[in-house]
Formats: sequence, structure tokens, C-alpha cells
Amino acid sequence: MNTNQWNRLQTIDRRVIYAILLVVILIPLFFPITLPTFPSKQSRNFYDTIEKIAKDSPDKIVIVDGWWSPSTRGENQWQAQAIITHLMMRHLHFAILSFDTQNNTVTQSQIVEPLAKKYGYVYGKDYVNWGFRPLAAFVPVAKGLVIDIPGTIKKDYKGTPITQFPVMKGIKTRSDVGALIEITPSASAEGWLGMFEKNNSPPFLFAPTAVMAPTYYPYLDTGQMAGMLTGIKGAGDYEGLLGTHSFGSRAAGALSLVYALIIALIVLGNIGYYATRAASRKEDR
Amino acid sequence: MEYIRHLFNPILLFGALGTMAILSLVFKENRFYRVFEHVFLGLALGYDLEFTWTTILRPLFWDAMVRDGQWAWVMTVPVGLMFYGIYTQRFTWMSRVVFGIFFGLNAGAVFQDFAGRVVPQVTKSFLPSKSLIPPPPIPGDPHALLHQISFVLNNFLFLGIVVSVLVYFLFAFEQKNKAVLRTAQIGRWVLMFAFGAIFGSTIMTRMALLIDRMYFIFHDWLRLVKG
Repeated sequence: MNTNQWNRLQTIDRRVIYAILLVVILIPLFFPITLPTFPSKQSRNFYDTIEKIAKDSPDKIVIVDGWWSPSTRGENQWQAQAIITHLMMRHLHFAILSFDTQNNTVTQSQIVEPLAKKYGYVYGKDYVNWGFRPLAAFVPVAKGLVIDIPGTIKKDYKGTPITQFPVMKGIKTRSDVGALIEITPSASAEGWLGMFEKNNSPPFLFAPTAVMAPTYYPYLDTGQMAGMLTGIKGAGDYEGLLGTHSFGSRAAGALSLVYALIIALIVLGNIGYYATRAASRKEDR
Repeated sequence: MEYIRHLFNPILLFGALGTMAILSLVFKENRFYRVFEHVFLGLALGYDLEFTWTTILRPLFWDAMVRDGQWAWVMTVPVGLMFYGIYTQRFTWMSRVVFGIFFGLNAGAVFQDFAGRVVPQVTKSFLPSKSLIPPPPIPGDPHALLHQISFVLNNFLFLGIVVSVLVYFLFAFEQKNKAVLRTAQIGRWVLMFAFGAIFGSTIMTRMALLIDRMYFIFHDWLRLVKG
């Protein structure tokens, strides 16, 4: 083969690559591929922490904070769904809080309400929606929750004073919080760790998109985070641990095939590069 | 007939058309993409404005004044307007006053953030020398030796990586010494590994979002995928 023929491996039309990618994604959606799943240590720790709260302190409230919007629903929605399913399975009380305008509506209507019907959860008695807070108010909200939860939140998402809800009975300060769960596509964990958490109490559980995850591994090592769900892989892990196989488990098959394709393309491109160089040298001689 | 009605459900149809329009950009820049790009931007901005007004400004600011008679809230309007002084030379000083207040407030918060978030990481990185001595085996652990070896290896790697990366970032003096140069080179390599991991995770996110969109089209909309 001459230089031009080898060079073709490096100049495959991107539309051809996209078409192959599409086929690779669609095959496991039509014909589900069941791969053996091994939940990562951080996913298992996330799960175990919720189990521990259900066993040791079931009266405490779990805060589920969301910064995500439909733009990252491919990862965050499935994480949120798995986490809230777990909370409901163990009948833990929880409060939804959002620092994104779209998040509060999506979490309430797309995730919590359908699951509440399934698990018999009643608004105000088993869970509450603390509503949306603008990002600019993050620091006062996070610091306020430490010493005075009812005084900081005041009203739920419909404008009802939160002290009227049975689920908020006895919930006054940070010590009444069982865990803080953060579901996010951004670097929002840092604010909570700096402003709300003290000596890893209450346990901080983090569910970021995969792109954000590597930055936060040091926080797992130091114990500042009790567990982490890494993107859709984390959601799949969690569904596996719960035994509720949904999109997260299904996407794992497609994701594995996509990785295989990307690795194959990288290898092809490199073969093309080295072979072109070798052929070029040969022709020069 | 029911399936046709489902296909033309306005919400699903709009979602499907939007997905196809935005993804069409990977083939070529086109008007279909442009239209939906502007629709999405407009929708997101409009939704943000409406939601912020309905859930924050109206109940906490407008209703507090008009309905509950707390007219002191009106004082926040001129303070807020002072931010816009930045656009004229004459009133720039006004914006500096409010910016200064906000900088001061944030600077105070940063100290707390640093103490709560960064200090534990720094202190935990000071692994004592005993971290290279394996802990006693857990009774009944069939892989006790393997766990002991991995404990020592992990801590050894951790210490080596922390030191080599710190040496790489020593720019205060010229790195001439061979040992320093080699250590810095290792630091650069491990940094490259970390960047590679971040890039790999970026691909994971992008692909997960694409898989979700395909699931929406073929499962939620076309109903060709079961389960």
C-alpha cells in the first residue's frame, strides 16, 4: 500500500464515523446486551450510607439538592431516579432543594410524583419540596441550613410554610439531617463541603455527571464524601444494587460498545499514522 | 390510529424534532438547526425569567411590599440600580460601592470554604511513615496478604505522586539537578494520566447524553424499542 492508501485511515469522513456510532448505540437498545456489572466502591458506599441511615437514624431528613436541568438528563435524571427510589424503598423522609430553575419542576413532576404513587409517598407527610433558590443565594442558604432550617427555607415550592408539614416536625438544624445528596452537572459540591459540612457530618453523597467525577476522587479519599455515583455508570451500578433495572442498566451495554468503537478508531488512526510515515520514508528512499 | 395520535403528540413531536435538528449540526450547519437553537435559547431564557419572578421576586419582594406593606424592600431597588453605574464614567463610583460590599462578603465566605474544604485534604495528604507498614490482617480474610500488599502499594503510589507533582510545580528555581528533573518528569506523566482520565470521562458524559436522546426517540416517541 502507498502513502495515500494508509492516509485514508486518518481521514475517514466524520459522517461515516457518526453513522457507525449511531448504529452501535442503537443495537443494544433494540437487542439489550446483559453485561455482568460490578458496582464501583464509591457506588456501593453511597448505597450503604443510605442503608445505614435507614437503620440508625430513620427520623432524620435527607436533603436531595439538584443543580441539573434537562440538558444533562441523560445522566442526572437516572441518578436522581435511582436515589429517590432507594429513599422511598427504605421509607426515609426527604426534602427536595434546587439551585436551577428547571430542576425543581423536573424533579418534582418527572421523578418524585410518579415514584410517590408507586411507593405510597404522601406530600408533606413523607417528603417536602423546599423549592428553588437562585445561585446567588447559595452561601446564605447553605450557612442558614446549619443553624436554622425552618427559618432559612420558610415556605415550600407552593408557598405553604414548611413548619405546617408533619415531615418537618423536629427538623431544626444540621444535626437533624441524615445526609446531603447533591445531584449535579457542575462543581457545586465544593460550596456544600465548605459552607455546610463539618467533619463529614451529615454524610455528603455526590452524584455528578461523569465529566465532573475525576476532580472529586480526592474528596472520597479524605472521607469528605461518603459515596459517589459517576454519571450513567453510577446510575447503572445503583439500579443493580437496588434490583430495579431501568435506563442506567440498559445504557451500560450501549456505552460499552461505544467505548469499543472509540478504542478501535483510535487504534486505526494510529496504525494509519505510523504506516503513512513508514510508507513516506520508503518512497523518499 | 392510536399510534398515529401518539406520534403527533405535540410535546413528543417537538422534543423529537428538536433532538434531530440539534444533532443535524454534526453533518452540516443548516437552517433546521439554527431555528431550533434559537427556540431552545428563547425557551430557556423565558422559563428562567418567569420562574425567578414567580418563585422568588414576586413572593419575597413584590408581595412583601404590595400585599404585606413591607415597603422597606423598595430600598433595594436603588441599591440594585447602583450596579448599572458601571456603564457611565460619572456614576462608576456607585457600582464600586456595591461591588466592594459583595467582594467583602464573598472574601469572608472564602475563608470558611477554604478551612472546611481544602484544609482536610492538605492534612490528609500528610501520610505518616507508618502508612508504608501494612496493617495487621483481618481475622478470616482469605485475601489478607493481597490486601496488605495493596495497602502499602497504594500509599507508596500516593506519596510518590504527591511529591512528584509538587516538584513539577516548583517554578521558584531552575530545575537543573537530575533527580529533581526526573521527579518533575514523573509528575508531568501522572498529570497527563489524570487529564486523560478527565477526557475519558468527558466522552462518557457526551455518549450517555446521546444514548439518552436515542432512547427518547426510539423508545418514548417511535415506540420501536421495548422495555
